[in-house]
Amino acid sequence: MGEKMKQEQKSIHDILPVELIHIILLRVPAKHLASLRCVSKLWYSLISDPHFAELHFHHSPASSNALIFIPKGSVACLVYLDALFSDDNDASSQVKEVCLPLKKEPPSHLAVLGSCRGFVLLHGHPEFLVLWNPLTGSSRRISYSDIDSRSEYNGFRLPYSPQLYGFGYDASRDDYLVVVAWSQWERQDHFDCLSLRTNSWIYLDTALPKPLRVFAHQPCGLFLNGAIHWLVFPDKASVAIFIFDLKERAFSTIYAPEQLPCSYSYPNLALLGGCLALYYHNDDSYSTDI
Amino acid sequence: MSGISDTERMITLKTVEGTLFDVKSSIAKDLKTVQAFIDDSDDDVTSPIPLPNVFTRELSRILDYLNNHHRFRSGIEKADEEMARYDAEFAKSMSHEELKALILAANYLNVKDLLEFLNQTVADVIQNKSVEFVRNFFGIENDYTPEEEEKLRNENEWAFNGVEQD
Repeated sequence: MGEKMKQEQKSIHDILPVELIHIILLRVPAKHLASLRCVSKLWYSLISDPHFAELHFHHSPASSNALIFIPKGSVACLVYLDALFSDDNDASSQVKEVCLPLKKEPPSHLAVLGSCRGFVLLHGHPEFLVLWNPLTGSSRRISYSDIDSRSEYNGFRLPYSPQLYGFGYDASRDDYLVVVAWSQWERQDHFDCLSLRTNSWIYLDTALPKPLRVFAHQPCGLFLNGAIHWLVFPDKASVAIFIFDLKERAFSTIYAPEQLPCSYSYPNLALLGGCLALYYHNDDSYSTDI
Repeated sequence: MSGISDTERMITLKTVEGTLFDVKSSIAKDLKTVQAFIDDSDDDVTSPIPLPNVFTRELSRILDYLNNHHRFRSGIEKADEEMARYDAEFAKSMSHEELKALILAANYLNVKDLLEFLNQTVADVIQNKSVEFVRNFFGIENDYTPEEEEKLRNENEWAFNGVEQD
């Protein structure tokens, strides 16, 4: 009886149930997850599951800041800003190359449209979007042919064609949204929202502040605090920020204060330390505006 | 039974090997599986409750952990530091085998806080270890063919930089 007990003891202790493995993996920092996919096919599917990536983010919102850029080729680079600026001179913790989630030859123009909560939105020719989590490897293709078919001319392409676009997360509905504001020549302005959860388009043309004749130097919006922000120039003299709240699905506008430094070039908007910052090129002065 | 307050009642637990443990009912509350058993019973539970999946070594550790945590929580302010130190020692005192066995027992008995702590401990252990180490730890068989694994590693070469040697 003792022998048999010992045998059972060994087999029970050797295998942990999947639910526990899942919970443990949720507690492993994102950086280390990628290599763990090689443990077994089950682990690969656990980690690559987009839902897992979502849960993982919930567990560790204080993730490190990383820049992602895509040099030519099929590889993207993640630069960990925290490691770069810390004293630790370990190169391997500063830059990581990640394989892009593309099966065939990478398209010639791959652009990063935005990122949010560990997910990166990529755009490639011809007209597809990829929602990708570089660290867990999960990816999903999305098409925006809907807009293309509705626009009058063929060749509607992100990121060049629309006036404004952006990518963000709506906490109230637990959904990721891709928003695009575009016009049809001299006629209608459109504002479309793709909900990634339902994989369907929502037409919010009425939400747009009319008209959309604003010149946006950076058509790509910045996601902060549940809303997407764009820097726009309603007229030559003024600077404003358009804000689209993902929960309310409504626009609002903030006008910049009068005393802005003179500059020859247009200002840009950036995310800095959890706030929006306005900065100018060709000028040594920085000004921050929240 | 009157005159005896709830917290003084003792529950007896029996492990796989037949060892009996007397546990205060206030501690037993943290063993949610046991508590459910007690709640479900119509009469007062007087005979030992058998735990067919729990071994003496594990139950003894779990009760140790719970007793100490109860003590820390009901004590004075400095408890947080002491508790952290106790937890660190507790985790270090176990081999990986023992850690796994304890997780299984804590999972079966549904001891939330301890399970949370143990899961985090394991996550910390496997964080930067090689794939073989992780397989050994969890007793997982590699179901990739050598070619598949080679391909996967090449694609993810960056992920293997900085991994601790076994």
